[in-house]
Amino acid sequence: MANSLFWQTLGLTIQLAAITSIILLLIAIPLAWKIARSNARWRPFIEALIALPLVLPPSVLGFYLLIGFAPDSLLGKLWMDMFDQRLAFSFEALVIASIIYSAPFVFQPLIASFQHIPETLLNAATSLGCTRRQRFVSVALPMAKTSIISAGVMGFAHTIGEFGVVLMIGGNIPGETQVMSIALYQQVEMLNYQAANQYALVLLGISVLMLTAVYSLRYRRGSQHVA
Amino acid sequence: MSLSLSRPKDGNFAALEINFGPGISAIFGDSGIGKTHLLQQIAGLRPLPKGSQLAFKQQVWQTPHQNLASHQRNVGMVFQDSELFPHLSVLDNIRFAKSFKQDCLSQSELEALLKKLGIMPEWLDRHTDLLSGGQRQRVAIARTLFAKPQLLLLDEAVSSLDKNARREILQTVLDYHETYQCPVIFVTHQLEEVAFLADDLILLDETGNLHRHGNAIQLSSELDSGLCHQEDSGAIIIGQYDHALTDFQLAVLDIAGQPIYIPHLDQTLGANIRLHIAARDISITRHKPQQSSILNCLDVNISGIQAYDAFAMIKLSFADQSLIARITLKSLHDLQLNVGERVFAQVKSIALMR
Repeated sequence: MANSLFWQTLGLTIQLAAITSIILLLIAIPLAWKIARSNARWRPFIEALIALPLVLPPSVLGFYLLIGFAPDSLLGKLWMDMFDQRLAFSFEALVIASIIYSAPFVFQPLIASFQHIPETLLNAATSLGCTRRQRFVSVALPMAKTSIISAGVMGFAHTIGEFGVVLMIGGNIPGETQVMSIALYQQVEMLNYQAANQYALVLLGISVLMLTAVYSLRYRRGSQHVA
Repeated sequence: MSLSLSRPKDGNFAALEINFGPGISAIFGDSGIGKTHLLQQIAGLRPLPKGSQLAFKQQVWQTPHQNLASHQRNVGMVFQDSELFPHLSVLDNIRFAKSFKQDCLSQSELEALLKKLGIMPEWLDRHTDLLSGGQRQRVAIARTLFAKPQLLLLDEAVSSLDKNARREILQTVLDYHETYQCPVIFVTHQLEEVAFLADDLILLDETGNLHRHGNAIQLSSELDSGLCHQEDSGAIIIGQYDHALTDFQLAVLDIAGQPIYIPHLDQTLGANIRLHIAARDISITRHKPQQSSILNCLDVNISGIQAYDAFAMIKLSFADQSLIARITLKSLHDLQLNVGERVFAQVKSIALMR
């Protein structure tokens, strides 16, 4: 029953989620470490900024991104100069939006996990000859391994579940910006319930799978040392 | 001299000037006066306040203009709570420094160390959370010594362990010190650890000021050191292994011409033996007791008397060594004891240190 448009949309959605969660992990791991070890006055503000997508209506975020990505905006122009293509309604714009939108789901478990690593354990590593970078790589990262994996999975799952922001900025272009959740909405609007059900079932299946993976990670032996 | 420290007042903690000796120094004092804080500053894990100076042998560690990074100081530190890495096996914990330092113990040296510490081969690939407190601390010591530190810091490293674990770990520290001439600084509030290990004793008062710094054996019998008022206070004395009384499984030590009997010894004749005699285990008589079951009775002179609460601490000297005895004020009064008088010290029990 599934047609090529369905597979194209599924592929694009997974691609978006994968790219988003990988980029997010690359940004969030070092940054979360900095935040977790900081007592600076700016820390609550940064944490609030990261958590913002949790409370903000997606349409608000989408609205500002729509304006920010517009061809006559600063970012839009810069993008055009650098890559010679428009940013608005592009796959790249979706990636940027998803990174912002899914950030709290990746950052928060990482910050919590890094915070649970006791200072004295890091001191022990220092007294055994570790530089700051080495103790991050040899102690903090392996200790937070479970949290890093689950942060990545959460980022992936949450990006797949994204709707409001994509609706605002995506433009619903098949093969470029049309993702599963939007396609589902579109099918419903066309009263095409059978096709809609396909999208809905697959989204439901992916979500259950991802969350089961996250929760089963928590009960794995050897992962108890970090919350 | 090994480490010299000069630190101005540091927040709530007092200013300190200490020149540590090349041997084993114990820092003794109440909790909450900054002993751990001080060790962390020496290790470079915590910043020293402005105007501090820290140098180890010829190496400048901190001046107002420079600061040698902590990981470059080659200081080994053992913490109160092991601080084993939970993501690594026991062996990977012990060999942790291998990836960061060139000069670690060789495989054969490591095997000897593990044996000495009683670390069983079957523990090595275990997860660290399966170990008991004593086992964890043995592993922590092995991990630190494997990195071959040039200065060893122990922060109440054995205080919470049972006697066997305590002794084996302290003996290992002593052996490492002797093999590598590595100065050791340890923080404790247990006199037993001081009696076993310390060459020098640094006493901090209740505000963290340096109260006394000197030879541990001498300070252990000084009435004004502040050590006397501990429940287990007592003096350290050194005797020479003279001969064995094999029929009775006893060893006889010679202390300035006087014999001391202790249970059978596993040492060569002539070896210096370190003993700790608790003040509460000594009683004083005017005349040499006849027909007593107490074997050890020393001919001594009273060289000091200090009263506190219902007790009197009596310093008893013979040749160049001293004991302290704790008697009641009533006994002091009844016996009419005075400084300079000759008395006999009956010793009920003696703790063999090393």
